Amino acid sequence: MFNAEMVTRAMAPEEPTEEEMRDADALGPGDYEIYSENVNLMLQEGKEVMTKMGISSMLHSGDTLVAVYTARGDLVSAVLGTYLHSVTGQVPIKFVRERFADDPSVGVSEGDIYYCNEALYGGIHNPDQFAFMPVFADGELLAWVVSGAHQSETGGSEPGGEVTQAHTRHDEGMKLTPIKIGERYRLKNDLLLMMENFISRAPRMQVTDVKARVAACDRVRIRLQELAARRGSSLVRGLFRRMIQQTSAGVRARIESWPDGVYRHNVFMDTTGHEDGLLRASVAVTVRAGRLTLDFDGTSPEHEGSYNAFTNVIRGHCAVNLYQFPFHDFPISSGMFDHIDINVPHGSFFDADPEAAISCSPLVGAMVFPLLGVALSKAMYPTEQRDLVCGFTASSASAVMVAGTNQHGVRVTDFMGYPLNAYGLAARSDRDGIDVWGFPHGPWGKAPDVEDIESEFPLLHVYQKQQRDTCGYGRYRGGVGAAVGYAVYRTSHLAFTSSQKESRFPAHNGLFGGYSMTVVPGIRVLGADLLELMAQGEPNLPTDDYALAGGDSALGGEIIVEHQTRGIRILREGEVLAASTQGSGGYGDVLERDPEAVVADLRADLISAWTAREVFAVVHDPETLLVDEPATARLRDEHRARRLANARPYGEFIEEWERRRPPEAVLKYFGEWPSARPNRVVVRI
Amino acid sequence: MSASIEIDIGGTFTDCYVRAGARETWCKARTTPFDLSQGMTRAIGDAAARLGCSAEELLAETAIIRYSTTLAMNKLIERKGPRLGLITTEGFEDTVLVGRASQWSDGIPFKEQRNIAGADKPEPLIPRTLTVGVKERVDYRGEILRPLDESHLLAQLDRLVDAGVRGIVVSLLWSFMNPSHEQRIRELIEHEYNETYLGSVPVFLSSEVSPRKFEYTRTMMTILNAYLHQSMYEELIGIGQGLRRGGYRKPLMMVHNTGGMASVFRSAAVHTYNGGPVAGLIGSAALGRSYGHTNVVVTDMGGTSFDIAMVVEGSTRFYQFAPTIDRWTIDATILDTRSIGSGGGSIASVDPLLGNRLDVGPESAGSIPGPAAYDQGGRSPTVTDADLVLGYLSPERFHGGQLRLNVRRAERAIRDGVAGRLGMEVPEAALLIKRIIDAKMGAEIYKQTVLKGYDPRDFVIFAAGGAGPVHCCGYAEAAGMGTVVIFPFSSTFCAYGSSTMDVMHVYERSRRLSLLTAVSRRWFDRYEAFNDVVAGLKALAHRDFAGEGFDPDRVSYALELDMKFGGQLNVKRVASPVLSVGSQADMEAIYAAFEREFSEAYSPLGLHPEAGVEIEAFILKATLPQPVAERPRIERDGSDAEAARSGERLALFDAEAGLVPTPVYEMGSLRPGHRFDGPALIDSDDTTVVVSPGWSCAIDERSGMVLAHDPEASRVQR
Amino acid sequence: MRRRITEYLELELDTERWHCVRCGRDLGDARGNYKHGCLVWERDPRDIHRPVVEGTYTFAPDPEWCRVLEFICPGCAGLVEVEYLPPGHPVTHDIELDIDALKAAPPSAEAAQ
Repeated sequence: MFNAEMVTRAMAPEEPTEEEMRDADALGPGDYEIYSENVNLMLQEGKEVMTKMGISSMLHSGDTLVAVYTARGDLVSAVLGTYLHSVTGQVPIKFVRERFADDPSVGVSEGDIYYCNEALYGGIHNPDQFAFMPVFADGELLAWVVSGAHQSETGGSEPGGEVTQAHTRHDEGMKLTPIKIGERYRLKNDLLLMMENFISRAPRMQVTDVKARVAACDRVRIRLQELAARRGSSLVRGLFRRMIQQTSAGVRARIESWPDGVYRHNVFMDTTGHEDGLLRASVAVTVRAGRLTLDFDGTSPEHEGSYNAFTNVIRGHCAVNLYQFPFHDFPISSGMFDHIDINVPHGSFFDADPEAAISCSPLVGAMVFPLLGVALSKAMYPTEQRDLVCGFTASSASAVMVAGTNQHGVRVTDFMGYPLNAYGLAARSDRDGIDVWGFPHGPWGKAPDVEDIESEFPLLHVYQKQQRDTCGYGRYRGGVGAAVGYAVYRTSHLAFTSSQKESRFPAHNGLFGGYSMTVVPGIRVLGADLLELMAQGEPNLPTDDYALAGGDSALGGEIIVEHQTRGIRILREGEVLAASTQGSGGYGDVLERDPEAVVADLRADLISAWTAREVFAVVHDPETLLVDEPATARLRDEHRARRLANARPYGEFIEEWERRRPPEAVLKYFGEWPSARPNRVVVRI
Repeated sequence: MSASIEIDIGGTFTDCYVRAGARETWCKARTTPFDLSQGMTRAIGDAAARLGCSAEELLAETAIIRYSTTLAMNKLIERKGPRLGLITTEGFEDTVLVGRASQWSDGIPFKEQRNIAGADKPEPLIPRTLTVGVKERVDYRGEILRPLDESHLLAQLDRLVDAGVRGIVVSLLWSFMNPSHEQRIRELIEHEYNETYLGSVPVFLSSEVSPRKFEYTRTMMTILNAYLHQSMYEELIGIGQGLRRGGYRKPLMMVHNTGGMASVFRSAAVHTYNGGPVAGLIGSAALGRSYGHTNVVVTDMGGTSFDIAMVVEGSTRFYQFAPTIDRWTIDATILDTRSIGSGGGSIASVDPLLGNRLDVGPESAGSIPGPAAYDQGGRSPTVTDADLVLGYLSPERFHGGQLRLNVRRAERAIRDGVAGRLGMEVPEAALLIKRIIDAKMGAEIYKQTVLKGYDPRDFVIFAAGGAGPVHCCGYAEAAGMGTVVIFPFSSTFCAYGSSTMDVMHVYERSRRLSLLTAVSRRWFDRYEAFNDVVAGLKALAHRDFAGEGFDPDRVSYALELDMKFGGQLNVKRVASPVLSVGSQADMEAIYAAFEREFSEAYSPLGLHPEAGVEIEAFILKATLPQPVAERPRIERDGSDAEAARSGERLALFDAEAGLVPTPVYEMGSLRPGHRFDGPALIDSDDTTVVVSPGWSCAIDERSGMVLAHDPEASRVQR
Repeated sequence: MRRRITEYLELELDTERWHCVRCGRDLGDARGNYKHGCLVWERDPRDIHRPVVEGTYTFAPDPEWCRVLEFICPGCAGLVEVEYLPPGHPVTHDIELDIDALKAAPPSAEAAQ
């Protein structure tokens, strides 16, 4: 069935044939520049077609893929909303080629239309659905086109596609291996009916969006055939090969400029999706002779919860880091992976058994973000890429989802877009990070306005703003995250689920002495009397998470502070739920931060007075906030003296340290301590 | 005689186009940024001289002056506006700082958007320290959930005033549904600070400036208007005084990016942004009508950028999606014009990291130092340098002889920057630069037509700007298009455009009405709710037109609606078939219009009325058409194009054929009926027309130069 | 020859030693972990991230799950690096350079300071 070796192999481009090399050399001056641009235009046209014909909101928000591949399935170029999908199309194409091209019961012919959403075949999770088509010219296979989009209904045991309470794949809904759903350019209605049946919560959206994806592929197919007819298949083949070569050569040259060595980092996850527990994710980045190896050995074992992933999910998340930082200026193609190896240990929660629940895999894959943010930064700091040094983001990368009947009597189910898009960005080597910066997987989306959400959802926002003290402190501080409070409004009840994490242990991505972002818990207030208090003109209402959780306002009700990962919570009208986000890590020694910057942050309510004094050691007038420079210098000297007084020589420290251990209950899913090797049997029914 | 004067003030030049009775003329003067009226006065004087009269005589006959400028925006970009305070709902003080999170990607080119580590959000126009949250809350229906806490507000106000703010923006959640809290705040501000030594502190309410849903864009719109208000006001005073000194006392109108126009004092700053290209678009629609071309791609290639816009079936009704001004996103009706970094000053460079790939632009040498050939210290090879080396430009004639081009410098820049690195000769490299930039512009045209669902072969190109006529055959071919029209005033095209514009104001208001409910499938029947919105907008129009001195009863109205299916993310702007409603038939007619426009813009497969159909906003256009005289026709005199020949020069069109002697014509000497085939060059003071091999050029009765790629397509228009 | 490796660490290639950029202090063998040459202060995360409420989830990392290790230069008391680890977890060898390859590399690979 599923072929782990092929998934690994599929990412890197195949060896070019002699014919391809000849064709690439035969390109005339300007042909590459002009026709590569034409290919990108074709893909944009395909994306326009898909957007215009589709219904689901993700389609319109840009979380889509339209890409072209060589005849053997190597990515030539893509238009995409998230770099995750720079590694997803290759696998189903190569699988179909290797497994079905010569199988008389299937075959690959002109006019065939394929479909896939089973993450084992190279995807991320089953909400991501892909259509793909072979492109023939002069009777020969010339290329493949893939189009894909995230669709939030999968027919799983929870609406919305990311099933936090899933125990196995059998809770997660429709998963299609690569299948042929059309021949001779015609979709088969029996298979569309099958999909409608699986996605019975939103059947019309499923069918319409399948057609939208297919239309996108088909448009690109037509344009490619036109180009081949006009200039010849050889030019197209040569162009494809050159586009892959360009990225490959450029990536190699850049890696060669980094110092050879091994760069390591560890981050920790504090939940399995079902219960609190400590797990580790590790990376060792090896730079050697122009080759990069990303090795995730040391990552904790898989488990029965919902926070597992498959190997290609991890590769996809690596691609996000690689394309957003070290290689942001390179075209997107398989050429990237000519010189990059990614090793994901099977049996870890990064690459679980095929029976595992993985619909929440992006949340798991997101642990790669702080891991590579730090490790790649350490490789790049000594080079010309120092301006790309950045710890990236926390690993939460998700949001609250609501389901229920809205104020207009219509059933609604959706992620809350604001927290999804509201993660802080880590500090850079010469400046602070960015507050409430975006969605790490694809940061160009927009966080919706209050008035957007309140029009369509039965919610009243209590507050929505930047959250102070959520950033990593340092000479340069990381960006802060956001605080969002929702009250259920004008409906009797609403269901919430949430798969954000880091409520006990942050995903540290500070650099060179910069601290980590902090942790954010989930908050609910039951039996709250918000609307009554508002009507009475009560002045003291909660304006952020701290006030809400701490009961520092006139708001009555039972306050529950819990892990951000929570299964379905039903809230009644008037009750409040907070769904806030993480900031990101700092850079450099806090005692070197310009006191004026500290005070500016204080004025803008980005840090508290406590932090200004206790962490940054800045003394200021409490009224005017003017910095008292001599007192600050003295306090900072005291802090340094305190460091020397409290710190111990490494040997002394390690002797005592090695005898310590977290509480046993916490380590249930860690694996062996401290190697994290599997030490229990995972039971899935 | 009745004359009109059009002024387009750009960064480098002030363009002027004048219609005086049956005659037209145009000219350019250097912009004087320290006092715009000087450049403008100079331009008017030059135009008058060309008409054979004095500036005073011309102004005495002038019935209307229209103008557009981008200089107010420079104040924005340079952050030279006043210190402002912002009052908003408590708990939501960071709305404009967060800016929908990915604000760091707004208003920057795509290449830069990919560089995450290099990104930054823009410096806010109003810092957090000058933002106060007030205790109040209104919901989506306009219902007050929390009354305004006035004593708390007054305490916050003191803070703002102590901090020295010179204006206050008030933007509360859902204020456009219920403006009472915003209005009360203004009352309190005016009352409290009535007698202060600070003088008046203008208060801007979001519910008045932009009564649209979505608090980020509504607040930004209000802030931008407040920020630019003062400098725009000052600029207008200066210009008004300059004109009055010349004896002009009639209306002074400003071009709006809505495609309309209003008196300067009824123009919100945000609506004057990018007025020039929009004027060019409206002008193209008018020219297209007179030529019988209903599908036009108007292209303007200048020093830095290539601007394009579309007229489709005579209509210019394409609006920008999520328009940005500088780094700020707003929600306003702005006609769609695109701009890419392809201009005469675009720099050609070889990228060794990407296999010696040749890139041309978007980096630009600007006008200082400018292309290497300008001899102002520029060393980078640019498109203009390539055009010169290819023989297209006359070094002595450039800019009317005021900027002599240095061929040797251009050759050296191309050799060092491109030819040497690619192992080719300089002329070959110049041809490659041209090919690549033409392909880029052709790709952009293709994008705007094909991506919108049109066939580029159904369109005619109008080429404008200093560099447009040089490259138009190249980019037309790259886009697969066969007809280009160049007008003699192409170098002041946008100024011409404003002469075709009507006085038109746009009024917008968000109001959600369920045209068709989702589950129960009932048609909307509270007709007075619909009609009240339109009546309110009409009343505003009435007030404004009357205030401008026009007869409000002569104004005609057109209604557009923003509509969507239930659950959809984006709205579709639809032309409403009715201005008022009173029956189910009216509702059905509106739905039919939506269905038709949606299917055309997207696809019939996307229609799903079972999810419900919503009206989200009302947009009323109030128009007072302006008389536009036909442009002068010139009689054929039976002469041959040879009469306009001024010589020849060596030019390169094909690497293998090499330099060929190419006939040169003088634009001012061309007459209707003249016709010749390419390769050919047409010289003038402001631009050069390159007629590529395989193209023909024919002059029509209105002095338009019609270039055609295919002998059958070249027909002289009557 | 010195090569700048992090914000606070320099590598002296000839002697193969780590040095603090701020004060020049020798921080050990460059083939080994610079952290071994540092002083280590193990801190309760709540001293840096202030808890806001009491209970299990406090807005501060759980001190039983997470400790903050500060690696400090003995010479100038400046921070060299910070790690967040569960108690007793092995300290990460975060930068392990191939010293021989660095020595063989041409000087043009030097980045601007």
